[in-house]
Amino acid sequence: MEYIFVLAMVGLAAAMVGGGLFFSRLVAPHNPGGNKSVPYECGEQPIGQAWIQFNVGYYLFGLLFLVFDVEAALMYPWAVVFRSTGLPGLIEMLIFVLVLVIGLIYAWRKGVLEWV
Amino acid sequence: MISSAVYTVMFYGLSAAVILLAVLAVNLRQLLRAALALMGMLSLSAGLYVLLHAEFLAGVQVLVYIGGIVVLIVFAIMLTRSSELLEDHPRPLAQVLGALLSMFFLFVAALALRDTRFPVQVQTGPPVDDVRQIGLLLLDRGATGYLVPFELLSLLLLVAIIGGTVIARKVAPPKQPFTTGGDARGETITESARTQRDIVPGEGAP
Repeated sequence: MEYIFVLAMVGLAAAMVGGGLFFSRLVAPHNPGGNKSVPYECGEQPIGQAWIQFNVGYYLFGLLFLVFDVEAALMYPWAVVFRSTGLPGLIEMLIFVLVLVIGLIYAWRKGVLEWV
Repeated sequence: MISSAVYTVMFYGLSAAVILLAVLAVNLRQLLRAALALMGMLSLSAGLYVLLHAEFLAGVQVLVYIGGIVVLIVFAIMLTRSSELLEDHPRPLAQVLGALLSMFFLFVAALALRDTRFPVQVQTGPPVDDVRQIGLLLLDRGATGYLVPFELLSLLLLVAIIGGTVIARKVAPPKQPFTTGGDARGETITESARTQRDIVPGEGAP
């Protein structure tokens, strides 16, 4: 079965990450405290907590990405049979995409795609 | 072909890991750890789909669920006030009700699974191309095709875009400054919900 390679890959990746963690724990000195437990902020002292309230723009971008992610996933079967379905298949897919483009234009007009 | 003993071992191993990660995703308090557990659980269920020879479904699972939906869930949780989430200890009555509802759902799902007859197709000849068949069925205009549901799907996605936009824009004013932290004037971030909105654009941190 061809998925034996996937399994081997998963095993190798787990061994590499786990081995790295294990040997660094074995070799590295361990004395926590002070500034070492502070979240890394490129040398700045972080103010407040790491868990803040996010801007809602992130969520809308995520939603838009998800919609076009689903669209892309549904385009794969069409791409496989593109030659045999020909022009009717192309038109059907164009209708599908156009409806989503309406949504993109709506989001664009409402300023979802703008930061600040 | 994969032998049935290996198949059984893989099925139960994957299922046990999926259940373990699902329980972790629900119970972990740290958001990122819970999200990681959810991602692991979803990718291992993609492994279950592969065991069922549903490769396209496994691909969609990885592409859409792990790549998109987990991120969306994390963003949605980050939109809430973190303190409320961390100090959220549901009352015993709510816990009991939740447990009862979950068990009821499990019961209904088990009944539905028991009463459904799954047709078993004995496959002869070379294996068919899964994705190819899905593509042909999706674009088929005949009575056995799925063209209408396929086109309706785009309408559903359109509703998702418009609904999300309308709801989210009620939550926040359009000219909220883009920021990843509340450090513009050195105020503490716990009160960021109010103060961030008052910051004039351009005054923010570099």
